Amino acid sequence: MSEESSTADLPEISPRRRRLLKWLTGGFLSLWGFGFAWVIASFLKPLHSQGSLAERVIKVGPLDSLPVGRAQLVRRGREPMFVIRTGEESMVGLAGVCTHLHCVLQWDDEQEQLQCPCHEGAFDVNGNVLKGPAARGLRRYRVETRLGEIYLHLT
Amino acid sequence: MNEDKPTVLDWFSRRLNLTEIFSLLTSYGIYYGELDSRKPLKEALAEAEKRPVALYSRWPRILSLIAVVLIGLELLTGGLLALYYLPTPDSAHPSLGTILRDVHFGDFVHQMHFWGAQLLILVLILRVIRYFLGSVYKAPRELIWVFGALLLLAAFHLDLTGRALPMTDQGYWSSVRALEIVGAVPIYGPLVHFLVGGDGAFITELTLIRFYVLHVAVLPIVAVTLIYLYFSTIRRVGLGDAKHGNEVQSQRVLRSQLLTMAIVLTLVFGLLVTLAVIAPKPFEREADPFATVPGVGPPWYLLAPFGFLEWMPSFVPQWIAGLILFLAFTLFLAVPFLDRSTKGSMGRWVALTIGLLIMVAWLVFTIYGGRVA
Repeated sequence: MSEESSTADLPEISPRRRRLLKWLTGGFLSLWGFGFAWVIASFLKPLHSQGSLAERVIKVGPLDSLPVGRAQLVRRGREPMFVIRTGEESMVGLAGVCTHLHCVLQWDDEQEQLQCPCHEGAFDVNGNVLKGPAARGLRRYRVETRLGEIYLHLT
Repeated sequence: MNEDKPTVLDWFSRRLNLTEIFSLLTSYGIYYGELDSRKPLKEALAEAEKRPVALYSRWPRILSLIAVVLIGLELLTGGLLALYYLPTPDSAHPSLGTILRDVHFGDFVHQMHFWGAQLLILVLILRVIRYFLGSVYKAPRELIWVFGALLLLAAFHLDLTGRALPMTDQGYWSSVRALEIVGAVPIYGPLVHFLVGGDGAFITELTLIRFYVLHVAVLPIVAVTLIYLYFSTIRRVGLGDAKHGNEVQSQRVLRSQLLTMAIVLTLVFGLLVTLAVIAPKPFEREADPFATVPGVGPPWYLLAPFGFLEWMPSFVPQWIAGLILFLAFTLFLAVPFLDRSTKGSMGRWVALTIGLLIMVAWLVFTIYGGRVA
């Protein structure tokens, strides 16, 4: 659409005023579009829940059901974790996913280590890498016993 | 434009039928002339601009543009909400809670979606009334009425299915009321109950997922198709009420229509924000299917049939009352084929009187239904 034909049936407006009006319309619409985009982008931002206290502590189960030298798998949503009873009073909480690829680890009662089914990796009860391709150790979580119940603290 | 220097548009024009694509877009209210899709876009537009075209930025034709803008807003906000909403009875309400509390602008998007729907229904009702008063349904414009009426019905169903989704107590019981009304209508009622997979007494997970699919997939496609068909009809037959110089030999139709759309969008947006601020839809408690909430009526646009069913004496079987509703609904769709009177004739006055009486009856029953609900 050429400029001549678009102005043909308009009343006389000075070019300066026309430019100003165009500029104002364009500015207004772009500002508006920016706001629109901002709202949508913020809405799309993934949620990172800070979590309430109840969400940060997981009740694992009674202490009696976990013998020394055994580990229990704890599920937090889709995230696996292990609580390992290393001694009569001592317990360790470890992330249950290998730091190499996202394979879920398995507890080996005999060797007392967490083993990865994918690439023969292994971690000791403190989360250190024993063998395999993993470069980092497992994340540790605080475990606590209250009134004979095991609680896993996520922070 | 310089003929020698090929633009980006030319590049695409040689590889795509831009005129056809543009023609598809114009079916959503940007431009109302017919385009020759065999010609390149520039040529087709230049040719189309020479023809007289009605200005759609004028009342009452602006209603269709507002409807298009609102449907666009509903699709956008609905698409955003669908990213967080989980359609199962247990997680629906908590997921709405997540949207309202945790997601940035979640409450805002939800309010816009709700108020946009209410405004859309209002606009579509006004549009049907204005077709009737302006008799925009006389041959060859029967289809304008039919598509307008069907679009209104699609909007009703969209709102009805949408209300049930959050599983709030008001929404839940209001949908149950609505399903009861629909269930009283012969043929159509059992069909709807079959489609949503329940008899209305209970909304289970299977019912909810059907409501969800209807709300996010089937009905939006129906609505968008109806809008397309509506503008397609307009492009062929026009609205036929061009007077007072509304029809112009406009040489800048496209630009002025785009500007009009932008202005309409801004104003509608402003109105919706105002409504969302001064009358926000509250986040109601979660529905308990075993505890009916007293005083929950159907949605405001269904108060009239609800009031009618309540007003019918109890010795009249419900299917008779439902049959009357069904006949009224069929007659409503068939208005262009019933009233063939010409302008200024006796028949036109009769039709106008009957129409006005029906509108008054609708209002009275709405008030009655609001009182008994």
